[in-house]
Amino acid sequence: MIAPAPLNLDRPALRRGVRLSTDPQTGDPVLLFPEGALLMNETAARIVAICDGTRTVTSIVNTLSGEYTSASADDIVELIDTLVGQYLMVRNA
Amino acid sequence: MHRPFGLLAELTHRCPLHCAYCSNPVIGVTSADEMSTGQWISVFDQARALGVLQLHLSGGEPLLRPDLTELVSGASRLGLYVNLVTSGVGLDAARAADLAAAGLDHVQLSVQDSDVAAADAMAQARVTTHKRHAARSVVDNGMALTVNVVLHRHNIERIPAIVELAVALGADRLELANTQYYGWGFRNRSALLPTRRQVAEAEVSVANARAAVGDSFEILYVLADYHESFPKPCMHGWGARHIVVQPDGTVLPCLAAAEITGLRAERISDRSLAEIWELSDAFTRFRGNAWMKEPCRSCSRRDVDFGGCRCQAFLITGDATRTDPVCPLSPDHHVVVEAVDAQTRQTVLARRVNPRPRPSAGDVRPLDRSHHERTTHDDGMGISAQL
Repeated sequence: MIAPAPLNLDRPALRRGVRLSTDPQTGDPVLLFPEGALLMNETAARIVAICDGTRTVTSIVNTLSGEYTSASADDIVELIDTLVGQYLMVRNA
Repeated sequence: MHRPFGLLAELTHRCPLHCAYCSNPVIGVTSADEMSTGQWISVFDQARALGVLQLHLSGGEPLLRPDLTELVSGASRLGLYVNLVTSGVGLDAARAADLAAAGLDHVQLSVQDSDVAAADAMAQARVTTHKRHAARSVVDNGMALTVNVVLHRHNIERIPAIVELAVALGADRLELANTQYYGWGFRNRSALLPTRRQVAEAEVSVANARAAVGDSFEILYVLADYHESFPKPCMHGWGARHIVVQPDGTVLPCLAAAEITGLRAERISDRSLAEIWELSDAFTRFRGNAWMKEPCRSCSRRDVDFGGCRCQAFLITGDATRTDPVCPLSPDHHVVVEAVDAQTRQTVLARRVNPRPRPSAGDVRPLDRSHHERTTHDDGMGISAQL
């Protein structure tokens, strides 16, 4: 039996000045920030969109597990860690 | 085919500050030749259609344009991420509220120094109070704020105090950018270049500051180009990602390209932005690597750093097709080494002046600099400067 993931009560959100948009050329999601842009796939964009500063990581994982995106809890936590490391997201809004 | 990601709009070359490190062209565009609101909106529209994601409203001082809010609003409606690059002079609470409501995403506020007297001396204006109010206005209106400090010999040792100041101003990020030697900065190079010891200590200061502030506050550090082992991959390659439009609608691949004589730059009034991007001499001359000479042509890093900076090669050697002299493989590298090693200091800073009407065709004469080199005074940095 797999042990349940520990509760993660961080409430991540995009940092001020960072926003999700759409690439006018490809229609793909893109994260825009002061000095650049990060092209994203639909799954990453869905995760970013739900990180609104009110939901905990545990709640985000539970919400997304019921969706077609099929992002695992590890994928979600890893994406949040990456974006925090790139100063695009804060762990707690 | 490459597509552009960013557009730098130099709305005006006028500026209330006179910083000696300014990278604006020494001969700027006069206010009479600046484009109208409608012309700028058309540029933004064409840029968006080409795939541009980000717009940097810059100058000179973009706040001097009374139509700035309208320009922000137009760009924002097109879906562009809009960044304002400003000295903060003229950015009061009401103007900031208007800009925020128009959709401005981010403000990059220049700060000259943590030391008030030195900051005012560099700007040749009393700027410190303006900047404090500007920072407050940006933050209070919910916009993201980056404080940008250009580093040079006279402020690079104050990095710890500069970090403290940026945090106190409520910034989200701090960009510490070593001077890039173009425009006025190139003319003042020997008065601005830091020593090797200063650059080594600065890198330690930045690492210490990053550890101290943690992951809540981002500190960007733009390397001291002349002190590096490899040339910078300038603009990620010529004509590859960025477009610069000057106040009169001249379209260039980078902000320093205006100084390359012989480069045929076109204006937005001549043909469409798409045609200029794809076909103009200014954008195609150094695109790709077919223009390269040795040692770049056979170099394994030719697609990593693109031969460095064309404008820097031109400014230092007079030939924009030569390897960037910052590269140790460049036959001109000794010029950079000697500049860094030089112990003699330039004693007079050539102060940035605002563009003046060009002489008429019947009145062509060499650039007369005497009118802005009248007198000198000590500016508190151990060097003299023109008033």
